[in-house]
Amino acid sequence: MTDRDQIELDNLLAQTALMKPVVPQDLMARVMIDAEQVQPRSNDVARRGIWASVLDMIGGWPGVGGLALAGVAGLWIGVAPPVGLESMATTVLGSTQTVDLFGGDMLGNFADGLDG
Amino acid sequence: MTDANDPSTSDAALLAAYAAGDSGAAQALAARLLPGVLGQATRMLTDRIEAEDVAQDAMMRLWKIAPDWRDGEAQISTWLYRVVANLCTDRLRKRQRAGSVGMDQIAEPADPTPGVAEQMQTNARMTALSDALGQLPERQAQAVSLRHLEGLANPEIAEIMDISVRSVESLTARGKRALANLLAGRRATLGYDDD
Repeated sequence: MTDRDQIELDNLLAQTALMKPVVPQDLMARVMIDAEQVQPRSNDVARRGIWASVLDMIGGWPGVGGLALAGVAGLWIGVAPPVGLESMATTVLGSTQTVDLFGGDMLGNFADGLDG
Repeated sequence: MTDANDPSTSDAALLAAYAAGDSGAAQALAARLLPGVLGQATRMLTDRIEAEDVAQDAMMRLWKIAPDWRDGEAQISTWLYRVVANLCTDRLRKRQRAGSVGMDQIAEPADPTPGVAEQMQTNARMTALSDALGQLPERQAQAVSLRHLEGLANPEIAEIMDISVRSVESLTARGKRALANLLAGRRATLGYDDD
């Protein structure tokens, strides 16, 4: 490659860079037909809008994943609390209290009812 | 409400309006963007019909991505430069595989009028340049065309191609050397020896 090759290439690139085609009307028409064909319908926009809003609110799909993970972790801690959780709660809250959600003998009464 | 005819309305706002069902926004956006898209494709391909196909294809991709476009992540013009460059290099590759009209196959001008002959020679040289771009590695061809045909600055090209400025410099330098070598082998058929 000589300097002359380089100069000729530079001239050719500069000449080509000057090409500024006018957009033909039929191309513009085709582009507009395409735009109309794939334009979201108002129902699509509304439906997507609700889900997009919900997703945006919680930070998109990563947010959904985080939410699910937090839910599973919460359930697990509820079912099988790690050793020391109670003493930690006592330390933080001062005291713990056990609440029997079903009342004293509710399950026993229910079983009796089934028997007879 | 987006004013499609207001020049200060951003491309992204118009695209969002289009996605929300405003057909006037599509018209305004096409009027703004299509000339640049067609120009880039024409300069890379030097073939009117192929360039129009690429321009239509690129705009179709824009319409389709409209509902998912996130304002602020990228400029629409930057995104379009990338799409058109990719579509053009695909076309150039296909042209190479199909056996392009090489310079040896280009007929001599039938009309010996100097102006016509000169124009045909210019066209032949531009076609040779386009074919030579098709023989370069894809990234080199894109970097060279964005730098020397579109006249973009290296940082802008880096953003379009998602690479560093240093990589752009390297790609354009290697691409230009390769182009010069490819065209040097065609000096006689391109009429450079007669100049």
